[in-house]
Amino acid sequence: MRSAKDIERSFRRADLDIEVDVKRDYEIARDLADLHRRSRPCGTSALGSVPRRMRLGYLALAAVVLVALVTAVLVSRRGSSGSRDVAPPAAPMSAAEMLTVGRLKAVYRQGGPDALEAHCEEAAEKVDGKPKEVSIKDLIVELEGR
Amino acid sequence: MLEDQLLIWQLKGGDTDAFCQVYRRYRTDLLRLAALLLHDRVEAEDIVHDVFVSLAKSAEGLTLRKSLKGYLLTCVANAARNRNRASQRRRAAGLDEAATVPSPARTPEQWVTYSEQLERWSGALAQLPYEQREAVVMHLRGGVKFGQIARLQGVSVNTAKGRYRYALEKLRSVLNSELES
Repeated sequence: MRSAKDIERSFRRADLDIEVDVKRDYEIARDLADLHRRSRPCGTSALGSVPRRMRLGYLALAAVVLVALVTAVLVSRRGSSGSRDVAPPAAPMSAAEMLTVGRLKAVYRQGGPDALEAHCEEAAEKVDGKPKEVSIKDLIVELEGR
Repeated sequence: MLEDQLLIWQLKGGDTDAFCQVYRRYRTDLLRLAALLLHDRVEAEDIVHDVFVSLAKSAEGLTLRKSLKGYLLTCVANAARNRNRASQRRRAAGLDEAATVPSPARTPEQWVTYSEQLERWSGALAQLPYEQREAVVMHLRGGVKFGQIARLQGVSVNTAKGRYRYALEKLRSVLNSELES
């Protein structure tokens, strides 16, 4: 007498073999595969077979990559041209900062006497007055002497 | 599971080799399940063929949440249940005699040979009510959990478990009486 547990075990482990006729099996597989190929809508591309949600994902990914590429190109262009042609915007300087020896030397080297004079006048305007004691000529002599 | 997903992707792409691969991999499992559920060789082969035809036609829109094997087994179980209901209706309407008259369309082509053990278990299971048979076959041979069996049958989990227990008891008495005789 077998218990329910025995029945359970023997049914679970039973060797329930099935053999199929190879030739007939091949024909059935071929017919089904033909049906599968015919059932596919004409002109469906590999992407066309992708579910709609995944297609949207692909499009979003493509858009992100495109935007990233354009941004990278623009940034690199701006970086390279900016370093050559466009000076970074100068922070406003006080008159004291404008009249340091280093600043005056830099202005004189870059723009010459005219630039130096304009620079000094601009600094003088900030303190509301012109330096009368030191002329530009004396200043240049002083700067070149150092 | 990953392999199944790849096969599904290939199926969706119209790959006929992938379809043949799916067919060869799962056909015997499906035939076994159908034979155990229906105890009718021709009906079993018919429903397995129908399931593959359906897969061939609808692979494009197939989305898989579980294993491909689980999906196909569920398809066979649903088809077997429908066939069983139809045959019950025929029997109730007194059309069973007409249904058993062999017709050219139903001639078995004998491309499948069942083992002696399969025939024996199938015969014993045929003596159970269909729902009990389904519970025991799906759980023990299909590896389907009671929750899913309950969903398939549209009953509570406890009912599915009860059907399973009754099925085992009945099988026990059937097989023990076979041993005695």
